[in-house]
Amino acid sequence: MEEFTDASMVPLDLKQPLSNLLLSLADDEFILGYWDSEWTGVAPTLEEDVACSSIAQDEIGHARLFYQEVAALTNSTPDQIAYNRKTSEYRQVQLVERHRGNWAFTCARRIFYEAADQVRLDSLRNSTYLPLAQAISKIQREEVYHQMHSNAWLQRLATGTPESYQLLSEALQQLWPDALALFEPFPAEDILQTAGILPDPSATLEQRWLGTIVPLFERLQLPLPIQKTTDLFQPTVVARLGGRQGQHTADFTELWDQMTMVYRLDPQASW
Amino acid sequence: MSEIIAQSSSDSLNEQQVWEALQHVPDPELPAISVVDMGIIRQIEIDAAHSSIRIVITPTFAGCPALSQIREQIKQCLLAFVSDVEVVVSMQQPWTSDMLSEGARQKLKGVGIAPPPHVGRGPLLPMLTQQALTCPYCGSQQTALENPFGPTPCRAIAYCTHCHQPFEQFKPI
Repeated sequence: MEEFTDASMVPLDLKQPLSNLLLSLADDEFILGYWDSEWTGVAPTLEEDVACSSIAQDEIGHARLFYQEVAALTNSTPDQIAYNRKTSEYRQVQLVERHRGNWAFTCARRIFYEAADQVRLDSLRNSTYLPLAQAISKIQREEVYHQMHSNAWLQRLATGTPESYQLLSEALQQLWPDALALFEPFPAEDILQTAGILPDPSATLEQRWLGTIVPLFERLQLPLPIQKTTDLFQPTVVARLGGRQGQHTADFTELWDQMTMVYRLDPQASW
Repeated sequence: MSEIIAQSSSDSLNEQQVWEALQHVPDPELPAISVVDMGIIRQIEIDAAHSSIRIVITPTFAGCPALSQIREQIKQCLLAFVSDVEVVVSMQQPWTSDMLSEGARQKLKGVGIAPPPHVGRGPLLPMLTQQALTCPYCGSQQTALENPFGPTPCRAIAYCTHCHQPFEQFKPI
């Protein structure tokens, strides 16, 4: 299959869908990084303070790589893309845009997200859009440490005290409908697939993701609104879709207001 | 350093001289180690006819906050040789901790940071969590990983139960 070595090689009809795909990756990392950075100084322990800050920094760095690719495709700059869009132009899932909540909520969200991110990156590493494939091979090595962190906390909260189990279960219960939107299909998924830019359809990735989550939750007896048929995982709750199409929550409006405040004062300023 | 540069700028510049000059550019987060020893310089292209140099670097971590400072320092260093310096960031050969030079590994120990185990193509995690880490102070392997995250993205925190000294472990990546 034909490979695209840089943005200038991408045919006109693929530019918009590809930007859209990159924005969903970038916005997920950017917004989650922003909320998680709020634990700096107030996490439950000093170690977690450092870990959250470090992970948030990584995520925002990954977002920057993806924004650079969007910038190359759309003749823009990473800063403009990150800070100069209307809320309806952001493409993250609603899962990552909710307030950081309590510690169990933050951990629950990370468990869903990191497992999904791993599945998504594993697939996109084979993308015919080489700048994306290269960025991902770098990013994946860093994400290994994030997965280790979120798995350790899943284990700790699930098997710690009745209270930690309770708080984690509540958070997971609350987040399942959001998590099930992680693989909401993209508007022009089919043409990205034909070009090999998107190696696997979202529906396939979702099944792979559930394939990692379900046995883990079963073992720890955590909320699992999923039915297993012979070869398919079927959710028994309705996914809260819309994030990938630009539908966002009030929590995001609030965050957007905060994070773009300085940029909006003087969009031409150079740093 | 200024002497080396003054001599070289009058002659025709070769790649070796550029490598040597860059040995004097420190990594901002680990000043004991140069950008060359860190292994982030991937390519040097000299265009003598146009008095320009193009340097390709790759970040240790994708979100490395020191990257723009590193680019600026490299630029300033090489402007002593030529009138135009371009520093390009590329992910084509992503950085791994195996790219640290032998010299860098020794210097890390000198500042109390355990050098990373060689990764090769193998998985990263068992190296940090299952292998015994070596204390850079006393060399003991009676150590425990305290936190995979440390003061910069590339460092983890460990503790030596033999000499009772906390130490930093450069992460295998």
